[in-house]
Amino acid sequence: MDYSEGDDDEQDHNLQKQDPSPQKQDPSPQKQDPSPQKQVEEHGTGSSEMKPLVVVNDYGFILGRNGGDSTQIRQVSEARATTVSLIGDMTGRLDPNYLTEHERKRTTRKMQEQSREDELKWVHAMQQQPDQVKKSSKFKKLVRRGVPSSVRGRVWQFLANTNAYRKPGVFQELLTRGHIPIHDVIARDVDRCYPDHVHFRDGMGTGQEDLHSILKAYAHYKPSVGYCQGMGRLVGMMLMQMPVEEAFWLLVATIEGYLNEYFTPTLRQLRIDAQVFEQLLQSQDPRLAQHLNRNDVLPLMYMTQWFLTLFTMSLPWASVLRVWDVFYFDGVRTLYRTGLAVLQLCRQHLLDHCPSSSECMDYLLHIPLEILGPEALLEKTAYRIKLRKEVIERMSAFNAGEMDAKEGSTISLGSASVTTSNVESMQDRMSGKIDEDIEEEDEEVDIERKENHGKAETGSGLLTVTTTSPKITTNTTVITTTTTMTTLSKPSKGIQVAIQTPASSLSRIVTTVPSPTSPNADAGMIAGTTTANITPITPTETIHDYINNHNNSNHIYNARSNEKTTATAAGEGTGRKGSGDGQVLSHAEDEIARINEPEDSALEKELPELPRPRSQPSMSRSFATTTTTVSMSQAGAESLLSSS
Amino acid sequence: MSTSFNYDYIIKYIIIGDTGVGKSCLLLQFTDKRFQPAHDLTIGVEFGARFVTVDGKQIKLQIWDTAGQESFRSITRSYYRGAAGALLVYDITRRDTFNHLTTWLEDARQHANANTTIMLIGNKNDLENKRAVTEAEGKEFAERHGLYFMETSAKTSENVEQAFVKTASDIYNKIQSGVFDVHNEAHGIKIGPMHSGGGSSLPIGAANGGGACCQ
Repeated sequence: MDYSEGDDDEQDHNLQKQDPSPQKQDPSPQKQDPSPQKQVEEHGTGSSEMKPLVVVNDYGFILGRNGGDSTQIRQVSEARATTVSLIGDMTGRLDPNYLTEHERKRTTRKMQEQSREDELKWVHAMQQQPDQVKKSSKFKKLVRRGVPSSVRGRVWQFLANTNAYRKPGVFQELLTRGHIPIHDVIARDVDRCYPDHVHFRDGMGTGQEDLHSILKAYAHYKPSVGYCQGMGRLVGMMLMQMPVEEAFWLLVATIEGYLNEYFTPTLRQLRIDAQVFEQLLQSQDPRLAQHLNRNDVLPLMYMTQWFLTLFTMSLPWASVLRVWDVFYFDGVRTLYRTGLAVLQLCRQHLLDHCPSSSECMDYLLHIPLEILGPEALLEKTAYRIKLRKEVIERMSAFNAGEMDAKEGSTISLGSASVTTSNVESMQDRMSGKIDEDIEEEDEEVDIERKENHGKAETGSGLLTVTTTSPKITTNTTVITTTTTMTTLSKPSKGIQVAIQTPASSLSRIVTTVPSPTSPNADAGMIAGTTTANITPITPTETIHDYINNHNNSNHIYNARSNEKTTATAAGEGTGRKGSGDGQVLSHAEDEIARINEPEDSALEKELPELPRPRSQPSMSRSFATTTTTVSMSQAGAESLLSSS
Repeated sequence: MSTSFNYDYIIKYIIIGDTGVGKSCLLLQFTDKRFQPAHDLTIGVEFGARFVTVDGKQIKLQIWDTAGQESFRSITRSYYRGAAGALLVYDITRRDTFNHLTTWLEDARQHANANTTIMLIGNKNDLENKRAVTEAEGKEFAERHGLYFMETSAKTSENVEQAFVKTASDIYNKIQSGVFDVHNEAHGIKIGPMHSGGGSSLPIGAANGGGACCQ
């Protein structure tokens, strides 16, 4: 099978250049495996002794040494998934098993042509500013098709705006610095990183050496991060695409621009993401969410590996590469999409065959790679999941606020739930009610706070929040929320109470209950019937500020009595301003009518581009010594191009 | 594994300890009976399961193998919940892994059930020439803290089976004596479909109580 020019074929130039061992490729008569593979006869570089034969797939992963070891099963299945995906990938719905030799050749040729075209488009694109390219729907389509392997490494660097971080000479300087304690940890981990890849399995090889030096240099470069397990998987992937120094700067750009606070000692952002992920899952597939929840399977248990290694441990390699392509274009949102897509593909098995946590976890950590090929995972699933960047940011900010509040032992409430309005339920999507329009994919996802059951600790007192079940009549929203606060001894500015409505059409409701504003309300009852439109949380606001700012403008409530209030929030007002652009409607019916109207994304469109709270680039202090800053410019882009 | 439901009990284990002490290798040796020196780092958690027989009872051990790096502690804590057994592992060739036992133990005491059986394991005892912690020290630490103790080698498989089984039989005894309430999920034990009730005061068919299993 000849896919050598295929879009997902990773016989990368750099890889070949860097690999010192002469490789001879010939068909392997001993192996029965039908997957594309190459038998590499290795001539030991340092010794005259012949090393055993290794069989690798198109991506350099070892299929089995001398007839098999543990990696075999997994990698064989990976290769199989690769074979399937390569054909299906570019051409739509073709099943390679039913292709004639002629068709197969034609398909391959088509893929080659497409790949060449895409190559040129990317070369052209890289003369522009990455931000411009990222705004273009044309390039969105292009990136979703998969970046041709010939330019993949450069495209990643371009999209990550690596030039903005790169400083000449710094990497070399970092390599000369002395030993720090974290280096011991790195040293122990280096040979546990891609041990099944030809490039990294050899302790004496350049692969491990480069990996080691990048991680050590990074620990010096960014002491606040140092080294966190999982980073090695990223570096390894980068080294499969580009030379060592470029890989270092891509790592810098990736962590600062995309994965800020993921690798810090508390894994803060990861834990926030786990919350967000749970909420997204809850909204997209309540049944699966409930199943996992009931079995004590929390997102943190399976998505840690997904997010921290950018899926390099969990997907067939063809899919990993494609996820990375889109990740550099779309950011962390891609990880959510992919994660939700993985779950969607596992859903039936999880529901039908995993009756307890043991089966669930075993499956989630060892999902058969065959079902996660690029077409099934990305084109048919992940790309169809609608998630707005701003929504993820807001949810992230909200959960960050909650987490900080919790860890700062102020008020903590139970987990929130989010509903994506206008997004078809998982079941709908599976049954084919799919909006495939890529251009329109960004739809609004509303945040809805769930009922917060039970108790939440405050510093010394106890806050009990109880919420009555929403009363829903057909097309009518009458939501009664009773919030009881007892012994709220610690001053707090507000709490948010969530209402979960069973119907996703009612997902635009969020209730914000104010804190008692006068001392005598401390132990009082708050009862209210409120519906309010969700307003964005700005990254700089704390959750309490947020609530405080928005209380006055958008929500009506009665805080000091058992009196029930019906209130509606302003339709599309941007509550961020905190001014009175909320408009109170007198009848609940108006609100209902509004909710039942077709989704209007005016609110979203009015939003200014929110800075991503976790990605403020901050160059390390250790760079005081460096003199040149290369910023992304026309010249920078050209130099990038000419460096090829 | 996922197809077999013939067991009397399911017991949850957690393996903890510093990074690189051989947690994943112990698990692999126990579940697959092989040693794989070249394996990927554990990011987050790994999971394995195996059946053992204690006192004629089929017991399914579900084992959570955790990441050892400090950063992952906050995540690891969520796995303690409902663990009836904990294997606390150090590397006999690295003194620091032994020195850190106290903090691991604190974590376990704080987040696991009070009755959780903890087995202290000094791993890599095939590397006698690199030994940095004596067996006596390990034993002494275990006695002082009320833990079981064994030295093992995931490479040669020495004592690996025994460590898991010994822990299981201690937990089984706790079930028999009523220390562990099999109806309380937080105790990390569930009754399987095979459970006959013989020798125990537990009712048959309580396996799926408490919403532990779907439907």
